Amino acid sequence: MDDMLKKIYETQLWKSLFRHGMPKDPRNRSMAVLTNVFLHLHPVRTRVGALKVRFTWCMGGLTFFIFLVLTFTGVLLMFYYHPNARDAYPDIQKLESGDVPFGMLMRNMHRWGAHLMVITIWLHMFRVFLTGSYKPPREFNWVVGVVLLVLTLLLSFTGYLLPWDQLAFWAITVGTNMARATPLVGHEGPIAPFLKIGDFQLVTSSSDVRFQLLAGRIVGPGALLRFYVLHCILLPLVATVLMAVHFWRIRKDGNISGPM
Amino acid sequence: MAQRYNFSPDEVQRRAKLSSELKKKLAPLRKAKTEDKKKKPGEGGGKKKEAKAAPKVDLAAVRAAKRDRRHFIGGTLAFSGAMAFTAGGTNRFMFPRILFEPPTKFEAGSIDDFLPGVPHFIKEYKTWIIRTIDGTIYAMSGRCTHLGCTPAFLASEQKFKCPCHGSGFRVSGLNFEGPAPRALERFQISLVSGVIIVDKAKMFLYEKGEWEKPESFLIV
Ligand code: HEM
Ligand code: FES
Repeated sequence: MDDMLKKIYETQLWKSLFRHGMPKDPRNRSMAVLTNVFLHLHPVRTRVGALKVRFTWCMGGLTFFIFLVLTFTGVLLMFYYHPNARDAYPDIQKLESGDVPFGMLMRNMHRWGAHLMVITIWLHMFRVFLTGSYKPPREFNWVVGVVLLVLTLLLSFTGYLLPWDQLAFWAITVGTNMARATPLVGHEGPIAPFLKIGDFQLVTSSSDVRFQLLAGRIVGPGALLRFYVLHCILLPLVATVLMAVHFWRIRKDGNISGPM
Repeated sequence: MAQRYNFSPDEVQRRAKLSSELKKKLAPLRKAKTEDKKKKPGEGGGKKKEAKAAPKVDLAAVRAAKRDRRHFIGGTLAFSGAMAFTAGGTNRFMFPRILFEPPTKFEAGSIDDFLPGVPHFIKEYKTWIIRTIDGTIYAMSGRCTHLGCTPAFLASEQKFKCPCHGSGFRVSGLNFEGPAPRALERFQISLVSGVIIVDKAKMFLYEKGEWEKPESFLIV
């Protein structure tokens, strides 16, 4: 048995995958972490106190786990969903009605998961605040966290339109109407009315940030497609990169802070 | 070291040995390097003395440095320009030249289509045509001034009620309950051979006193 294992360890395939021996001694253990792109984001060592659920509530970890669940179920939903005004709503109905095996389960995991992630991310932020873990040297990671929070909320917002039902339509109508009041780039917001050349208004309902988001002045098919692309490609991509930075910074800032 | 990483005593010894061996190996190399430096004129050991004596200005070197700087600034500017151009273009990309939305100007119907005292909703254009008992006609926006839902007309209470957050408006369009901050807007209205023409591009706001303007209503 040992001989066989030894032979496997000697093969080129094994050696090309793992550039270190069995993680039995300290050197090989740290090598196992350092030579793995996913593990090396994490601290090499962890304080015992930082592992206590009492301290972290594992809320950051749970948020990340839910993000993974959402990515998995989301990709599955994409196999059945067409992002156009004609098909979107019937596609959701097909998923819900049993036309697609486990369709209802996948859709509901995605929807409930999205709600849950918003809850856990707030709780995570709350615990970081309570434990004072935002203080230097972790102030940058707090800022990364705030951007992650905004991205999470934007993911929820853009995803909300995709079922293309009445709830979706009016929620996005209400939500995007707030963008009218954006300073400078919203046509009903502060500063915008003063931006004009002679009588020509620069920021209007068809050149402001809301138009850019909706591809029009009303929530229509263009908005559905834009929200779909944002929801399925751009926002998850940016969030993934920032999460990598977030975890890397935990390592660089001297690991998870200790209990006080 | 041993404390920080919790290495076994064996491991500590092994590491100490490795590092001292490495030092020995590197020693001749290091020495050679420092001697190399000393040999070069104007550098290393000889530098201090020469600096105190009359400093020679190497014009060619200065010119080269200037050229380098110019290159650098020019390159930076060109790169920033290209980036700005790309960013601007990407932004412009998001604003299509055609729109599939109802036009702002439309025919609402002939005057006789509208009964006095019964607000009439034109769904496609989200516009109410309201003909009052005393004979004025105005075109009113169907878009709630709070956040844009569509208030419904409740005939029994003679008011418009928004389903989203409960704003209420009188038949005149004045807001009187809920979060809506302003009255519903009126649109430009005109009569062309018996047909009512509405242009949503021209709005009249109550709070600016614009409901008095003649384009904002018809008298029949
Ligand atoms: C996508 C969302 C997020 C994910 C997946 C995430 C994940 C994590 C994880 C796994 C940890 C390790 C400790 C723990 O589990 O509590 C952590 C720590 C941390 N997070 Fe987040 N987080 C997110 C959003 C945020 C937000 C919104 C903030 C605050 C604005 C934040 C600030 C921090 C800080 C400062 C630490 C270091 C805490 C310490 O050292 O004790 N994160 N994050
Ligand atoms: S949108 Fe009408 S009350 Fe909020």
